[in-house]
Amino acid sequence: MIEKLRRRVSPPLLACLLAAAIVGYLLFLTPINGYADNGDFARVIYINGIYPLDPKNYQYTTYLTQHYGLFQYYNEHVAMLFSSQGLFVKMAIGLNKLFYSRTIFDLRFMGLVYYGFYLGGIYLLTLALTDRTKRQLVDYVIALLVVFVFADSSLTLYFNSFFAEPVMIIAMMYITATLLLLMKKQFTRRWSLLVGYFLAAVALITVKQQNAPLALSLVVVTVGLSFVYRDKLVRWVAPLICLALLGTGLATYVMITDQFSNINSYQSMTRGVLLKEADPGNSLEKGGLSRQYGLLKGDIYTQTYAATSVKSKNITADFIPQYNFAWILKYYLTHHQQFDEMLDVAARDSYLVQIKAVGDFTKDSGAKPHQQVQYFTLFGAIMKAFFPKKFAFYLTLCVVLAIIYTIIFVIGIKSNEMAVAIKAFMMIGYATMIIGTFITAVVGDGDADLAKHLLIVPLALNLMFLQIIADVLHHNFWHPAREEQQ
Amino acid sequence: MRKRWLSIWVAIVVSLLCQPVVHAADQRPVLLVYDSANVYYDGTKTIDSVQRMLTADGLAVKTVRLANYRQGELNDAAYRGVVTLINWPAAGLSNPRFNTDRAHFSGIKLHIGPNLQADELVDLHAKKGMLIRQQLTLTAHKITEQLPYTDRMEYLAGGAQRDEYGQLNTQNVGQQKILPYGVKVGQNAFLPFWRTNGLAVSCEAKLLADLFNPQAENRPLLVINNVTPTSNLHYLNQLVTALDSNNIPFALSATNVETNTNQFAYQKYMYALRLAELKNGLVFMRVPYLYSYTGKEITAANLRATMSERLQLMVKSGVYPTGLAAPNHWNQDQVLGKVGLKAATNVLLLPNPKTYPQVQRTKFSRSFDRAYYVMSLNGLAKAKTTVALTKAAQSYAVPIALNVKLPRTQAELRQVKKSVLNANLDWENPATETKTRTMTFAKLKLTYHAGTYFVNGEPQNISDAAPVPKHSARSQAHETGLNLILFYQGKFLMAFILVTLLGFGVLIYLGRKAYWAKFKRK
Repeated sequence: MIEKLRRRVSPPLLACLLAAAIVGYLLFLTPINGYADNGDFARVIYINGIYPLDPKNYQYTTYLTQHYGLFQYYNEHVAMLFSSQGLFVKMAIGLNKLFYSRTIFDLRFMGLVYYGFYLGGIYLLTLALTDRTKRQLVDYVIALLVVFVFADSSLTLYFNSFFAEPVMIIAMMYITATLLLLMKKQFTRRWSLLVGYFLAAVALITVKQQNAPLALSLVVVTVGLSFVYRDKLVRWVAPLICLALLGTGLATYVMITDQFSNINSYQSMTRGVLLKEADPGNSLEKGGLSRQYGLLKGDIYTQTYAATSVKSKNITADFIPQYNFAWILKYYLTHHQQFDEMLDVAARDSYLVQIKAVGDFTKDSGAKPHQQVQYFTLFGAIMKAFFPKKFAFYLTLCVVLAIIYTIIFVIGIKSNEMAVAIKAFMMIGYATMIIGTFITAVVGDGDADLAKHLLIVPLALNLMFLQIIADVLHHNFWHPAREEQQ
Repeated sequence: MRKRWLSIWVAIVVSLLCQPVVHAADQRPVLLVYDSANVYYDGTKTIDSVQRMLTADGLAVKTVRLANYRQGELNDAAYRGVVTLINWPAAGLSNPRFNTDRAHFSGIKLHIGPNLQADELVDLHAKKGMLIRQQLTLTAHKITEQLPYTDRMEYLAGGAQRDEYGQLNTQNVGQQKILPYGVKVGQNAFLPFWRTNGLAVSCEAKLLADLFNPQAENRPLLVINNVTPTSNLHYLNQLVTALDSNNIPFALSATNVETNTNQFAYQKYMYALRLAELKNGLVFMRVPYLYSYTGKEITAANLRATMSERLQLMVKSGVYPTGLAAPNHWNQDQVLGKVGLKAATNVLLLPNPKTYPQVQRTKFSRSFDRAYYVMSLNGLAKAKTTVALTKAAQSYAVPIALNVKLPRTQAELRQVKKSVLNANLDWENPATETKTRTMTFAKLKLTYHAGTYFVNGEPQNISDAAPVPKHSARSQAHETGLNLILFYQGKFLMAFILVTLLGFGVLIYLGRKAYWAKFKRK
């Protein structure tokens, strides 16, 4: 029986089939599941020609809306932010128009586009983590693990929504898979993998403005490639990719529209700097700001009952432009206690992948408002319950992993296994990604929307854990580039 | 003889019964019918302005769009008067059912804009004429103001026995036309257009007051708005001091917070407001700025709590608001109006912001003891005076407040001071009035009478003591329960990992040669 299975179904195919069944059931069979709108959909839908059919009864946060309208005439909305997400939405609209309707948009087409890319990602990731030639039992275990981690509903619910996160999830899978396959040098089509890696990296950086700093980590990751492929052409490619990634990161950062950056700047102060100090007046005055702004402590940008209009010059001219990322970073560096507290708040939220603030069901399903999906959420639930919730832990973990992979890199070089560099630099890059994300989330937007801003942390950690487990199971933890040791 | 007395008595009774009731006690609302919101050309501003002016004249208003008008709605029993507002002349919208009902209606009728119907012209004893492409100048109280270019304007030609409000002059050399701006014939009136600020407002106010509730002339109230806890209090203080030294009474429209009140910044804000009170300034608490995607975040319960908390905090700090300042949309909303504006009998009606959430929209707006129509003092700056702007020249038939924005820079401060002093107006001085202003909320009754503040009948002294910053030690947060476990869990894990790491390092150091030799390819 097992022999038959082995012959007919490879581990990647098994993972792909299982994920397809598990996720397909969640996304496409009515009543469908997904994340309801928390108000952020507006940034994406209007510019892409989609609108809520019944604005008066449109369900914010409580229920998922399955059907939207498609604009038939000139669309006057301009993009509030530049995002690679638009390409995916356009693709979904195209499919919708081809197979369903030219006037009504079914959210499942959005899910379908992500689903396609996602299954490809699952296949490649499993292929990269398993041994292609041997098909041992451990490889099937690894395939099951990949499904257990990445088919978790807390992640896949994002596919039926207009959030930008699905692009991040899929891009991270492709980045990891292509790099690992490049490391194994098993693939003859090196160029297509390099292109795949580059496209995934660009999609990740450009999908959200707060992903711009990830370009730095991805440069670290890319450096690994130059150790391995030393032929002339590829030697040029790695630095070029680095430059392109940095450029894209910078462009994403620059293209943030004023309104969007105002929201983040405002909240990084009111929900960040001011939040943990009893009377922040003195610190503000030291930083050249009026003490009075301390009274905004705790407010979000769209505070229901605000004391000051966020559109008034008192805020847009006298407050927000008076500080920047560097101002806030300097504040935190001189106020350790506040920084530690904020980072711990972030650490508490980092494995809260499933957004509790919005419902996962449609109203027609008969579910209660804000009802959460329980189906296939075991991995998310375990991590949420048991993963340590202190920033110090994350920091130590990352440092330890970075040291271990530096050692592995040194071992690799000594034993003339240069391919190890790809994995070592990827792991080190991911470690910097985790720490960097914590810092940029806290400095860039305070504690507002933390769970969503920190999504890259569980993604990177999951991918790191999967690789470590796969290497340990293959008995080649210290020599990841080698075939399994007998 | 007896028959004669009886007939006289019957005649008296009948005449009394037939006489339209035009006393202040008349509680019937006024029906405002507009043809279109005309959003593209800022038509919503006109509707907002007409609504505010009617409220300022002490009237309750029901606002209906022409297309939504239902036959039979406009009748003498239900409405005291009707205002027809043609807001988008080019569209030529009409509703025959409304036209018929209006023709049969015998209450007060005001028509604003073109498209005068035949029955209206009969009531106004005039024919209509048309002006095309003219530059008009408005004259009132010997003051003139040039109006924006007029493309088309309907006017009343001929007619006698009518009251006129303001004068419009064309600029055609030789054929100059002089037309009245507002016209009133008995219970019927006409305005060729509506202006939301400037000189025209005094004509509009007078016309409305004469039609509905004639009032004693009101001097304008100077209002400093945009006062918020995050404002520049230094400039506020300087402006207030300058006004006081020039004997100019004023009012503030100031917001409040209900959190962070332990901060020194909050005490400074309250101190600034107290100083304003001491310098003959009234405080109107401005209602919060609302942000809500859906309007569902705002409920009667949380709005009541917020308003009450903010007012009570002011009272606790020795700031006694005498009324509320609110954008007009609050008064057109069931929840915001009924709950949010409940405490006040005096309100400053601010123009609507560009966008605002609707919680539970209503066609009916409330009336108040005194509602001020707020407009910018700068709007008057365009008016040129042929005589020195005498203090008596600028008084209004309804309560009007002229506002200046709280300055943000030294240059703005100079500018504001200059514009207030140059206006040389006779400002309303609440301290010398005999009327009492009251606010009631949370078992508190605030009254302001002749310059003295009372809380539940007790007169209050306003303290001018400046707050002193506290150098308090940072309070240590006490960790309890689960937090404590998490706290120690983190510490424990960190210690554990550090020890492991150390051991790991020592082991690598000790066995590095053997270790590497093991993996080296022979």
